[in-house]
Amino acid sequence: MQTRAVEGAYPLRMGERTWGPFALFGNCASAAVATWCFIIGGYVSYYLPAGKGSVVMLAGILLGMFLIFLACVPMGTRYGLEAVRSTKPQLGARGSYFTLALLFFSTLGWNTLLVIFCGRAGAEILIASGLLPEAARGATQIGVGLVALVVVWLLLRGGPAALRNIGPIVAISVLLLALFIIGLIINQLGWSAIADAEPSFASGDDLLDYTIGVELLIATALSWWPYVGAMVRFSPSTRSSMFPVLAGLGIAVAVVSFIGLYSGLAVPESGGDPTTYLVELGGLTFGLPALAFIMLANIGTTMVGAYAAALAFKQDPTIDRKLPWNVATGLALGATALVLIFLSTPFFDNFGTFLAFSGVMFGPICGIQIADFYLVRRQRLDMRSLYLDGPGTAYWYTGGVNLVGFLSLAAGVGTYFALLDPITFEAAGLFKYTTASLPAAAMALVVYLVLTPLLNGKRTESLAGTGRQQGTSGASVRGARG
Amino acid sequence: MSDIHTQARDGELERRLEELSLPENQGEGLSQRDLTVLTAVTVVAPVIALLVGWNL
Repeated sequence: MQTRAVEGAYPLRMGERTWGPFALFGNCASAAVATWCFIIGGYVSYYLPAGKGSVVMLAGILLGMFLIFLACVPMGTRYGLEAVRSTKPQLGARGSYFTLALLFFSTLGWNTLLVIFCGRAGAEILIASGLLPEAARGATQIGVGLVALVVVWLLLRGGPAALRNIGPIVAISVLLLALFIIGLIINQLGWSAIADAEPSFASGDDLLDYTIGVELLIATALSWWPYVGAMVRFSPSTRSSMFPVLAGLGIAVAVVSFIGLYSGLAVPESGGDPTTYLVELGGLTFGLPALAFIMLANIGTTMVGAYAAALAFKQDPTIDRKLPWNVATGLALGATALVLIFLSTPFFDNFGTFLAFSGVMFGPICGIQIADFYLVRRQRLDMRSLYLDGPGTAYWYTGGVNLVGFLSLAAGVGTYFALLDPITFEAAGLFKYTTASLPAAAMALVVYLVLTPLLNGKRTESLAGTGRQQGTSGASVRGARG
Repeated sequence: MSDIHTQARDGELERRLEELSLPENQGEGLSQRDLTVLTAVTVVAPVIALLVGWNL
């Protein structure tokens, strides 16, 4: 039964929350540090030089972490909730399927990107070392990516215990490798070449470029939304989770993204990825550390992504009964394999848009979660209704959907689009003073607060106003599944 | 057989919900002090850094 609990079906007892600060930091860093850091840094290098870019990356990701932390961590540590179940109070028991779909497609996107990177790096090294001909590049990229997926699936058979044990090892290894690569880049290219390099797509409006950099990093932090709950549910305390989460998902990512920033500035055609030019500069001696980084970091991150997706699938009791753990992780990774084989090039070429959409959706979700958990419910949830569905339970609303939550999300998303086009990066005049993700989250929060008493007044009062939080619905396990 | 398993699972979930509905069996939420530290690290410090970085 304990295995079933930690694999997602049941709420966790305190004794089952076995991740200390080191395991939590290790898994956060392992989840967040991957080759997307190269792309993120590469994007920032389009708009900002090295000095400003470095500051913006650290500051921007921490600003985004404020929203992510408030939305995900206290709810996760107090009630042991992963991402999808944590949206039941705001979106309704059935409405939370919306976030299940969002989580699935988000982790699918990130995992696909990572295995594409694994495949490309593996092929680059095998071809550069003369082991394979150039003609085999396409097939090798897919083959290496598929091998990486199989490795992840095998590792995940151990469930969260495997994550707890492997995450810190992966994190420490990739952080050391990343520092080595940063040193290598500065040593080989020269700091002055990096510091003096001009961004290749600067708009001429310094403030606009500065804010685009901040926005990109806020969006990066927001894109951790699907991952955070799956990890912090194993930690018993918000306080002890704070620095592991901020350091692992925030600071570590910014520092590793410096690789992409400096590479993109000094070697613009690299797009932030140092693998190719490191091999050209120093052959396998320089290429192997980069390859080791990519393999370790991406496998570590894909593990957490697939774990979060499998956990999310199993939040529904009916699905949980029919879907063994290994099949759930297999489904999550199988979908990635299909995109890798059939759609890898269009997906890779549109990654910037994918990243921007993280800001579009997850900012407003954070907004309604913060409004609901702190300001409407005063950090008190109905434990029974989180796990049992059906009319009469606290989060059933109308037909299982909380209209207020969806209207608030729509207001937040609309605000984002009014300020920034996530595809073309065309910005409204106000954007350079506000960013887009922060006002989008704020708008969703305000609309939620305004509409809740108007549309859900009685229901919310009965839960928060009287301080009743436990067993209010009176539903039983067998009776409430509807 | 399947019914027996389902009942066992439902019983376990019922027991856990009963137990975890008590605040003393739940984890820690966000305290005022946590919020202050969080705000200092993730709002105040980054905003200051952005103001300083603008002049680089």
